[in-house]
Amino acid sequence: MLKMSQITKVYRTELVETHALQGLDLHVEEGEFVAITGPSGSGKTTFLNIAGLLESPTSGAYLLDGEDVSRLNDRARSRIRNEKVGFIFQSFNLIPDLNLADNVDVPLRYRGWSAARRRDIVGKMLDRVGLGARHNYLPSQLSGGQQQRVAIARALAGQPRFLLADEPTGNLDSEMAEAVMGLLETINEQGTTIVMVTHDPDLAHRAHRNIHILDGQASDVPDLAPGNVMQFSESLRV
Amino acid sequence: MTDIGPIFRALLQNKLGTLLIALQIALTLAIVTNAAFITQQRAADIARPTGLDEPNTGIILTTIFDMQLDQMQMLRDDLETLRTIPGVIAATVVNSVPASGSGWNDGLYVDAEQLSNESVNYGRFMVDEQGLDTFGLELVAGRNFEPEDMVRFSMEENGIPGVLVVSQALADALFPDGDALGKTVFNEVGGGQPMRIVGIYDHMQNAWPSSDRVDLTALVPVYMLFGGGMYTLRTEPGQLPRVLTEAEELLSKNRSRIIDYVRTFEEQKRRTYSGDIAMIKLLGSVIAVLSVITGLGIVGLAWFSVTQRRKQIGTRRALGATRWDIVRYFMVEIGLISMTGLFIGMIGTIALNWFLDTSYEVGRMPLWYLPVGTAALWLLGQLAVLVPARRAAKIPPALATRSV
Amino acid sequence: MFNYYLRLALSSIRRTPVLSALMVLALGLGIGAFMTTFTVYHLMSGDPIPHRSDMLYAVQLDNWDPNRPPTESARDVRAQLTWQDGNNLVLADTPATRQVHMYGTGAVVVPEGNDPPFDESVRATWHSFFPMFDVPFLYGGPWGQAEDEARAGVAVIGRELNDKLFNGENSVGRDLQLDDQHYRVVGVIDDWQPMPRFYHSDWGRAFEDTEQVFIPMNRAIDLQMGQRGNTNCWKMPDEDLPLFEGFLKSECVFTQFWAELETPQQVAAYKDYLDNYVRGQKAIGRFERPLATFISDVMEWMDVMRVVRDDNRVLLRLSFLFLLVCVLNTVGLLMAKFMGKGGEVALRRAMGASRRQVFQQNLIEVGLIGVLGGLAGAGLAWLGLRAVENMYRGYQHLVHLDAVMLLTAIATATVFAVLAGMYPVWRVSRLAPAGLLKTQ
Repeated sequence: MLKMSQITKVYRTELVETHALQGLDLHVEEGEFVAITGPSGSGKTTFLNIAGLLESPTSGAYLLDGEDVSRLNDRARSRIRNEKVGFIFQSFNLIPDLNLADNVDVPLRYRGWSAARRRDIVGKMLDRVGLGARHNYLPSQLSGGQQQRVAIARALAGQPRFLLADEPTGNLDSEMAEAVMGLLETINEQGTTIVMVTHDPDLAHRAHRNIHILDGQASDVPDLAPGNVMQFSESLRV
Repeated sequence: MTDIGPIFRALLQNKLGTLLIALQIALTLAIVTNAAFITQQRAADIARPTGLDEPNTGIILTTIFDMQLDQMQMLRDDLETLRTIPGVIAATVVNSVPASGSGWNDGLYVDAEQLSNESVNYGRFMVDEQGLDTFGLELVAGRNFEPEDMVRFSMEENGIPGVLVVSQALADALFPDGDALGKTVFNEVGGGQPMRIVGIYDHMQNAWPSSDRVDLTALVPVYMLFGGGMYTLRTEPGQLPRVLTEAEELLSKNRSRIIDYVRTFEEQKRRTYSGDIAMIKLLGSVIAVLSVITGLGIVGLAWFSVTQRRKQIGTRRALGATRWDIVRYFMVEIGLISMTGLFIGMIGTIALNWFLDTSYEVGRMPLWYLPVGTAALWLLGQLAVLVPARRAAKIPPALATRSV
Repeated sequence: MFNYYLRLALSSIRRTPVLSALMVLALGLGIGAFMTTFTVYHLMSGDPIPHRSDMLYAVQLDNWDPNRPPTESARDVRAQLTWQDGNNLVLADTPATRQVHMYGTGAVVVPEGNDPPFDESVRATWHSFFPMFDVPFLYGGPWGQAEDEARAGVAVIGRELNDKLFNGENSVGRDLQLDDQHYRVVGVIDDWQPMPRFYHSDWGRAFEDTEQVFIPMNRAIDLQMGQRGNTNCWKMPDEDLPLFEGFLKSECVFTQFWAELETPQQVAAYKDYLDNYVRGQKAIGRFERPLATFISDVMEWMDVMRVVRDDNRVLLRLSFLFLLVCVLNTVGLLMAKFMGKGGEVALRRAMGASRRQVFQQNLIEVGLIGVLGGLAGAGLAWLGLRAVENMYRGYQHLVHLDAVMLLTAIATATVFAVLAGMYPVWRVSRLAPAGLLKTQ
């Protein structure tokens, strides 16, 4: 599904060169639920941006669904983002002055589908996250957990094969976080590949596989007990 | 003032935004200063005294349509009528009044043998013996007209006046030695008729206020009899509106002519200067609106920048900046931008004045407009930024620790 | 997509009402000021008789005082002729297709019945005036050569006067009293207002109403009807003549003279004719200055007469700069506004919007602000023109705001808004989609 080999990313400004990723190798199989962990500044965000085609790598190859996407132009990358990738963000990133239906509709708008087809999908997606009755609400009228469920509906609306979640429960209390996590697991069971970046070892542990990024390089974390992972992360966070 | 360094460096990070406001301020300075200069000039033109008792003078124009009428008799009757209205100081019949845009220009020679290009051009006003008093002129030397000086000028009778009363400026132009009184001069049109200067009055403008010979005028004792009469009268202060109403009523009794208009001299002057008055109003609105737009533009941008920098401002507050420090930050910031803009603007102002002067002869702007305009726009920037700056000062320091 | 973008633009404008209102106001004021001065300028500098302006020529002959400075261009020569020169030319067999000689005068119209008499401007002219200047007739037509030669008491009146005197009925054949003279109406002119009034555009008269009464010039001269308008004299005849006769034989200029010349050959031949005419007059002691004759077609004539005043040009220039400030103001505000949209843009980019789509979406928002600014500008221009109309005398024909102008205002505002917005919109569409997401 997703295969990165020898990915590097260098940010240049007038004064400094920052090597955010240094020969990252990473492989995610179709249908997997992978958690990415790592301390701040380790390159997690850069990985996420490249995986989601928001940025291009400086060098290396990135195959998504068997297609090399590391050297595509803006238009082609936008199309792939739209059709194959779904995003879920820590702070939901709903557009405040659009209602829920319009928010879920955003990715569909860039597909050129008919209004009826879009309306149908938007309705289904909102129903799926349990907010079908509130399609007219504005994001500000919802709780954080509800907002994130809308964001998930939006991410799923385009029926992507591959979901990128960036600290999806970071801004939620534990009860809401559990509900969202449950929803992601259900989605994964229905066949969508999920890559989730998280700090939370409990969440990471619920994934099929953990990948740890440190200094711009990834390594598979062996199936550790939750307590060990906790220790490992804590020590690196200092 | 230690703020200037970091503020300046921060501005350099946003070159384009800074340049945009600076350019806007520069253009505003150029336009506002030039517009103010033109406005000021026109206002000064209008404010020049015509020499008349402006607020107490009225004009009545009549036209006859019965060509058999005895026009001389009608003039005498009308003048008699007007002069007996209570409140009237003097009334006369004229060919035109000063600053009315319509009149008579002619030339005078000092010597009958002079060539026409050596004549002195003057505004010729035909009046009777009450002319001097109606126009409110002060005789500085010599005498007024006597009834026997009066001649008639009509289709049938081309009476040539033998005397005239000139303005001080005309007397000086003709006789620079100051001995004009009693001298004989020769009129250009009509082939050099001799006229003796019997009086000199202080000052009166001619009919065309934009001419460069505006102060060279003379009164001649002539009754003009061409199909009607333009009457001019002067009243006691405050009596003009009533007198004009009464005059119109009385003159209307004669049914063999029409009254074209009855107007105050001030209204006539406004009509003559309508172009300049319009220019003043239009440029005045340009100045006002442009200042408001530029002011609001600064408010808008600063407001926005406050919104963008809330966290940063909160952090500054948390690190010990006082409210006044925050306000001062914004004032110094707009001050630096203004300085750049005003510097460019000064060059632009001079360039624009140069362009307008060479192309349309608006005149050279005195240099003192620059510091005044610059100071005004500087102040505008400081005042405009005060609104958003005060808002910024209200941002609580606690904002620094909030995550979103 | 367009409707979607439009909806997004509307909601974005609603989200920042003050900033948006400021932009619309700034653009509106800029456009309004510019449209006001531009409309006045445009109408002033317009062609008053488009299909014939290149074959109608105003004639100037330099008959002035030999002691005055020499003539260099048409602007140095009096705009008018003496009666005797005009009359000589109009009676001569010249290469011109048609010629007209005329002057402005006035008379008191005495209505039948008890209505009060009133003053009217009168144009004393020749029958050729009407076909040359393509004057439209409502009833009847112009008088003919015969009436000119017979110095007849006939008149052509304007529609407005016909409404006033004859209730708008066909008044051909009816009697018209001017002063104590009677005229037979031969034609009624339909609404006719060339703008500028080119045929007599002396100092400030270029925007006056057309006259409502036209009579044969010969008749007016016979009646010794005095001229209204500029008269310039430098020499009266040496012999002692009655006043009006002396005036006609003097070097006083007060008449206007036009020739209709259809081909370049005709133009050249006519110019030669004028030069020869002046040489003939020199032989009898007139025209003492170096030979100088000028013919100018309508648009050249409008330039010679300085119909567009310097004030109008100054205002046009200043209002353009004013518009520029407003546009700069709008660019600044748009920059600010769009920089604040980074989050939404990044999100849309993540959802698969291409740069191009983001660009289009924001361009539509800018365009919408432009259209609103244009509407505001058209409204303000309308107010501005009303104000100009009140401030200047004789501008009432200059200041009509029509659908074309409304559309022009909106189009201009949109173009300026889009130009102003191009850079901010481009910038916002280039924002990296990554990086902004975290901080939102």
